[in-house]
Amino acid sequence: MNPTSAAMPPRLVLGAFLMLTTLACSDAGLIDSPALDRLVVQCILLPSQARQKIWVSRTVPNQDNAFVAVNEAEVTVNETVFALQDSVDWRDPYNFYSEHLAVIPGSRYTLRLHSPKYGEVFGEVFVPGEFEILAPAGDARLQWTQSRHAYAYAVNLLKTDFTVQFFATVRDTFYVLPPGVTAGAYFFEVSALDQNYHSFTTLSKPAAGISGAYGLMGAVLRKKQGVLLGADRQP
Amino acid sequence: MSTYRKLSCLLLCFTLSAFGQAHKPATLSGIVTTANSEALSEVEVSVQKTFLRTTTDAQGRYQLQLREGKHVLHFRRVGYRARYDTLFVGVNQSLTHEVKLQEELIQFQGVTVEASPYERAPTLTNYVVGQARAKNVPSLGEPDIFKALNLLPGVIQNNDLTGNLHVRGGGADQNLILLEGVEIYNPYHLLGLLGTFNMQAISSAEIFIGDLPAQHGDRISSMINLETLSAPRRPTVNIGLLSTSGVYTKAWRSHFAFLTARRTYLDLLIPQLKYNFTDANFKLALGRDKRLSFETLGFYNLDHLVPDSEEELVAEWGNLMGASRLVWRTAKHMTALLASYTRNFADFQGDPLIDNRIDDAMLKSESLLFWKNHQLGFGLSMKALRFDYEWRGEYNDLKEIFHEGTPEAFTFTRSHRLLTGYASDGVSLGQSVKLEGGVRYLRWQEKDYWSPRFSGRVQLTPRLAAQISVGRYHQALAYGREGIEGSIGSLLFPTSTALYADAATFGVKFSLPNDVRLEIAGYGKLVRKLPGFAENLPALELSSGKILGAEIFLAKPGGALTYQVAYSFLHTRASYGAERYPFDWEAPHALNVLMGSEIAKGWFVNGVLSFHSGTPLTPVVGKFLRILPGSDEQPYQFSEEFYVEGDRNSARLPNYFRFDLSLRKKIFKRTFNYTIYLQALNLLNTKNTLRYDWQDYYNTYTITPEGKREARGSVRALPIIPSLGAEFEF
Repeated sequence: MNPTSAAMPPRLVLGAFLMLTTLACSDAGLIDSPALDRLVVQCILLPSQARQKIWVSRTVPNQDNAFVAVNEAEVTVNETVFALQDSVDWRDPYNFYSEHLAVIPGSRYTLRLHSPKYGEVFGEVFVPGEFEILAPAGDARLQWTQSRHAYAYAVNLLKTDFTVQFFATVRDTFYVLPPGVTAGAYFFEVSALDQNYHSFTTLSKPAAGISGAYGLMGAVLRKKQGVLLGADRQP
Repeated sequence: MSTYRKLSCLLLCFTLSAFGQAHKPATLSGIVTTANSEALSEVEVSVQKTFLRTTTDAQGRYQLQLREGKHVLHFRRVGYRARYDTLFVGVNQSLTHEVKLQEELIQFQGVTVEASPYERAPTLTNYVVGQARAKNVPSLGEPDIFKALNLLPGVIQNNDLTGNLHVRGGGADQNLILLEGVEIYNPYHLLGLLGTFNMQAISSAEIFIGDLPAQHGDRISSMINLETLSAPRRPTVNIGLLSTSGVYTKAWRSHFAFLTARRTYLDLLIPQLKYNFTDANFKLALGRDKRLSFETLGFYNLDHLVPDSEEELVAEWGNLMGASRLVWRTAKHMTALLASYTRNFADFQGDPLIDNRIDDAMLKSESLLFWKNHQLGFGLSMKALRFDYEWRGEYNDLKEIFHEGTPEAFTFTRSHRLLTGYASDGVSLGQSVKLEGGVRYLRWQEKDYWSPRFSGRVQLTPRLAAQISVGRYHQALAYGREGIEGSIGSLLFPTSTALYADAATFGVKFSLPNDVRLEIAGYGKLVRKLPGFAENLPALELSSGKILGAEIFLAKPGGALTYQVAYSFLHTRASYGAERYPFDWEAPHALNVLMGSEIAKGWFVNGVLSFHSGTPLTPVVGKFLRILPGSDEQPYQFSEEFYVEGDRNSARLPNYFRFDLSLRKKIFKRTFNYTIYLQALNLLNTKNTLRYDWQDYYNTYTITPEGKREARGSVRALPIIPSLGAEFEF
């Protein structure tokens, strides 16, 4: 046996071991995110409201305040111009609003926004059509009629003091209550959601119904009705 | 002491210890070959009048520790003439001993039985890890076969907390994990931190990291088959920091049986964890060396999250498996019939409610016909699979576990049949060329799939062999979402159409002096329909991928210093719509080094160095405040902050580095032997990053007194974890 060749592999291995150890112990550093400065437009049309609002802001780095308004913009929905509301109230920060836009269920609405800094933004939504809440079938099955353009329904069962008893999102036009809901008087609320809204909230898409910006062009039609669940439901 | 100093001291100690050996028992290293000098695996090597025994690996190698004196070694393998060799061992002596076994016709009850003279060519993609080597790899208190497999080329565990293996750029769901040929669906304890197989019961693990022969399949990346004990050994009890396990074997006439069991006492040691696990394994083999033999095997493991009296959550998950195998051997043929049943389950009662179950009943037959330079194999398998998944809960993490679109309540029930068959043929052309070809058939969801496979090996010189292989591989089951891993979340779903991969490997294998083996291989893979699902599932991502890789493997299994060095290069690109991104588990460079040596009499030290590039992640690049509809009184409400992600997998975690060390002391007594072991994972306490906690801390950092930036948002991987234990052989 050649002693030199016998010693070579261990030496090679130890050399590689040392080299890799040195390499691996170097400071790997921290990932820095690239600065993202993008417009965020959020418009949720609510047929039940006289005043429609649109929030225009921009993305911010993680350590900053999450809402930084962008006020230099021209906003129109179906040719209705939205005005800027100045507000420093954190609960109702800067927004564009209009009390002249009639939001009709089942209709199509388009948004145009021009910002000198961020350019053109377009949005489109079909407002969910009219629907009705039907009388419950038995004590467990709550039901309602189909809403045109609705993609999903948010089902809310509220106690008479408006505290939420149960909440779910479904694709069907009925919901079977789980056994835990006890007998009594409730408000049953169904919100018909358009597909953009569903994508933005449930699927957490950063942009839904909007092109040229993050955000949402969505619509929600809400109906509420009192229901009395029978006494035979077990607590 | 700085990291560099600690490292230097450690390396110095390790190096000196490796070469400066004083008193020790002799190390006997050897190789067993056929008369034609071809490596012979699975040869049982035992020392007469002792309990020392081992089996040769795929390269025909074995190693034993012997005390000074005269020893009689017994070599035996079915189809070869048993051989007894007498050796004289001196103090501090290391011996090598080469043995050639002669083929022979064996008489079994009047029937002439001939072993297959055709030996499958050892390939660049096929490795066998024995129990002894797996036990030498430092681990989390318990020897873990997956930790040993992770040290092979092309294999990476990119996450400290999930034991999932990624083989040659494949996802964790692309590995077929078998226990004696029966699939085990989720073989992990501790939510993936530890493999579920008790190493007391496992004799060896064979892994194909690619180039799967036609007889193996139904996954597109790799196949791992664990063999349980087949020869008697002394009753053994292992008392570790995490658990206690034991094995009892019994051999009588031509029959054999073993029973192993393991129970952790984590819930007793750390009551806050409220967690324990149990596993058990048994085998009964009748007529092992007879023409007709029968085996039955059972396996059970259960992880239990112990509930607080005030909490509603009760969680249990695990596996249950039972199998029986009938084998019939004649002179020119072998037929095996296997019937098995496997259940994988996860049951969480509370919020969330999870009740998931996979039932798998299989009937399989395989036959081999062999001639002098030729082997023909064919088989047929029928699986009845049933998936029962249910989860429900309002305040749960299911969306994170599965997909953002996961509904609060989800029920998935399916029954499917998976029919597979194969035919393969192996031919030796002279002494230097071996060819294998085959085709595998799969019938799934009323569709037929064919997977042709071919490999060829040429011995160019006595020390150099070249190999090429090409093949197509199909897979019927896949995780619910690409990149989803973790014990509970790793749900396999039936695909609507089988995903498939086309792969090619080319490599060379050098047999260097001093028993050193060097392998260099390159490969490419195209993966399609990854993953596609049946209807009514929350995630329907459908992508494809390209994988390129290269591997270098250097190994010296015997001698004063044993080592294996595995380097892997990997480049992946997934395509999903217009997106192009690397797979979640892509580490372009990975290096694993295992070194072992006997540093003094009975003292063994083993070190593992693991290094790999950081794996990809999708960074958060900004945030905004989401506005949603409110009530009639307050029409709009300001929801939570929404984090905007950058391009998919466009950033990487920092490089990963870990050094593990184990020290074992073997003590021989008259009536029993015992081994005391001390081991430490991440001995240098390197601060590896497991992931970033985006929502709270991303992009914020503090300056340490040393002037380094430290990410407050990074979640650390395993810190230093020392453990100790003892193994008693009675």
